[in-house]
Amino acid sequence: MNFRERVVVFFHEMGEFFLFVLEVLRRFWAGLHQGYEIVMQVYLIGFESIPVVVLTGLFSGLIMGLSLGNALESIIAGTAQYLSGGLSVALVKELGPVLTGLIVVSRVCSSVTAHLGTMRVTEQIDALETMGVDPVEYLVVPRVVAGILSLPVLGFISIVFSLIGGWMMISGVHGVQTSVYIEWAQIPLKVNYIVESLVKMMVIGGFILLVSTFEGFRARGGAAGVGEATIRSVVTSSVMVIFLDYVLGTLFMIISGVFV
Amino acid sequence: MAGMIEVYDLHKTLNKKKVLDGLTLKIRQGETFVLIGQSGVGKSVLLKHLIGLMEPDRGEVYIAGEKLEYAKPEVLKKIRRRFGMLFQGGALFDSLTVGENILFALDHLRPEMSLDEKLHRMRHSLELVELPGIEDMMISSLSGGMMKRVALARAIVAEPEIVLFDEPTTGLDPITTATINDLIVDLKKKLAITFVVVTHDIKGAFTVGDRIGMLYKGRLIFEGTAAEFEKTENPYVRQFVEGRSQGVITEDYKNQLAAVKKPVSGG
Repeated sequence: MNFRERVVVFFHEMGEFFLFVLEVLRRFWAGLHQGYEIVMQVYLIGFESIPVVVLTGLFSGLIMGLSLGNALESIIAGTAQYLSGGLSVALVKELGPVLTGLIVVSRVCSSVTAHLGTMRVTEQIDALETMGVDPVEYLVVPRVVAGILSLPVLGFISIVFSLIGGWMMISGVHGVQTSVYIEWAQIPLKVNYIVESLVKMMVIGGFILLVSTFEGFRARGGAAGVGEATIRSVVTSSVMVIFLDYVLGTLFMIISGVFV
Repeated sequence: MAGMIEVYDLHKTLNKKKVLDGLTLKIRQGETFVLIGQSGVGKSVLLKHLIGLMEPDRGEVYIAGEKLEYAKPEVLKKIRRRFGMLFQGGALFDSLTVGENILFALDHLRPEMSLDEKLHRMRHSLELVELPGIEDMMISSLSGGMMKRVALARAIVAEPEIVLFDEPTTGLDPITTATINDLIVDLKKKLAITFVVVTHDIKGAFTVGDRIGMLYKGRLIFEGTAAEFEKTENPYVRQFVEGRSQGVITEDYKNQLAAVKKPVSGG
């Protein structure tokens, strides 16, 4: 495929995705009535991701506490106690949403695309339609809603465990008191950082599930087609997590600049 | 007999290939109409047009006199309730048990029924396909033949007026193939509804079909009873029925291939 064809294919796919999103929006209200499916997807996407989010959060907190604590101490001795302030702002605004988003991409988006892709190539999605079930209402909306609901909760858990990891290192290695750690973690935090974090996680959660369901729906041609769709889903979702974090972060900065 | 399914001048192009090219067809109420033809001539595509899973580029489809309005989801949904469809690979939901698969169809096609009634229907439909008592089995533990039967049970459970069979015997051994064909004949006697069967199994077509139509290059080139098929001198039908590697179909295919290659070698 030459460059021109790649550009054409890219815009063609963008158009398809846009139409898919419109269809999801059109069916969103009806899809919200799939109560059982939404609960099931929140369980699969959200609840089952908790262990991996706890582990990655804790270990990233431990490593940041160790590395950044040492760095601060080597610059000015005794400054490790202020680390929690920087850590909490970085985690709430950027690392929490991005890290959680990437974990959900690797654990959930791949499986959603593979599942829906297999359903597509084995005609199970066609079978749903013949039974009067709208596949977007039944398969897509519950997963997107579960993504929107689960990511903020998972993100919160990740941030809390990263802070715990940071605390374990700072207090263990540099002897900073717990009360000092907690106090400095709160001082630089602003309410709009928390709002920004929540919005980011909801948008990222909904968007990556849109991408993975879209790729699953357009999978063609047997096992190889499902494999390709899964790769596309994971790559696009991963890039979009970081891209959306950047776009929304910039947007919030502009908004807070206007209103503050 | 009244026309249960009427198709007029249906056109469909997929991946720049004309799959249906002005197809016109009438299927009578209560008959078993078998569509035969080589792989890729548009048999399954036609079935998907009948049930509204695909929209034609041009042409019209009428089900029991009612026009299929592809752009209106509510009309499609209503018309689809008249149908049951057996997909090529069964298309059973592998996360559900056999019973749950069949109940799923009833939940959505007959929501007004009570749970007891649905359970009774589900068990009855499994008996009809000669698989009583397997409702608790998982789909992954079924053999190919059993999967087709369960899919058939799911297709007929909501008492449709028309059942579409997409390659019901593909991938099965000869004995299971014969059993499935017998089951289709038997079900037809019991249910007395319209069956449309797509297959390239010529023996099966003669066993189950009241009338048979042959699809070639997106058009129906011959239709008639099994006896008429046996008698016809149409060279396309003869080559297909006799399963010969040499003949007009092969010649056409070679010419087509040469026409595709020509601009490349010439340029």
